[in-house]
Amino acid sequence: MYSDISRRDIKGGKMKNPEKDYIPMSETAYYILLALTEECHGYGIIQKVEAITSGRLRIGAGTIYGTLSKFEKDGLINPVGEEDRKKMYKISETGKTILKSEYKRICELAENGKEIPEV
Amino acid sequence: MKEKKYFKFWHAANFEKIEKWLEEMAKSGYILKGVTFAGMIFSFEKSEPKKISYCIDYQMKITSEYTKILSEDGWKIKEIGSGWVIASKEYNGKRPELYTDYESILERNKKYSWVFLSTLAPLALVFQSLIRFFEDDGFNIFNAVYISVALPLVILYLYIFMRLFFTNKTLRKKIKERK
Repeated sequence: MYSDISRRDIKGGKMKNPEKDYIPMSETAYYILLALTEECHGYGIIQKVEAITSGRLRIGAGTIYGTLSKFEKDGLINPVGEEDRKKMYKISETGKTILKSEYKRICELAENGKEIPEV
Repeated sequence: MKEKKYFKFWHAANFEKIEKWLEEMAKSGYILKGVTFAGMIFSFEKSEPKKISYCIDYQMKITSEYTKILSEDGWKIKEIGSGWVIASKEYNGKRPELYTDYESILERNKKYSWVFLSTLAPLALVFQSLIRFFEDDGFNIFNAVYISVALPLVILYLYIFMRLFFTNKTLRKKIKERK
């Protein structure tokens, strides 16, 4: 995946073709973006994702920090101010586009999976 | 109060060994108190045996945002210099990890690989000057001392860089296989 990212794809910090680099998306990245459809801070995302996956997925603090920095750099999310000295983020238009196409892809996976013959 | 001090050499490509060792020490009742001497002298304090997860991390810049997210998630942070930190967290049950995906680990590794590479350049200049020394003066005691210090250093650097390169290659492969 990373081998096809060239310096030329990145212009002024924003990627020209983010879909190419973000789809398919890791489970972690998908849930972080999903959590940011509402304003949230780093630790809040960990709690939110843990809640919506019924405790199955607990994202590490290092992973959250690293992913947020990368998403911000690539223009998938925007900082929207501070609350209790914590940086708040929200998904951007680019982020929404990516999240939607990834959602469609996952739906297709699930839909096609229904045809697994019963054994 | 009983205290213990150890010297341990480690580098960017083998810090997992230090993490495991610190965890073993905590299990036997020695809790890490401080790290000095470029992160190589570890002092411990005797206490109850504890289950503690130790994670060594690198950040180009340790921001307040970074320390905030980690501490909210229950991690204690010890800065050991040049962007390296030791994060620790007491736990019951499943061992908590600072990183729970390969992508962020690879991103972090790529960052310190570049920093590492930038320190290699001056070292290459040292090595070049070394060769010139020999050409000009031939063998003498100063050259002998110089090479016995510089040569192992160059070899160690190259070794660490190779290890970093192959670790990142394995990570890329794992990420690709998952998709």
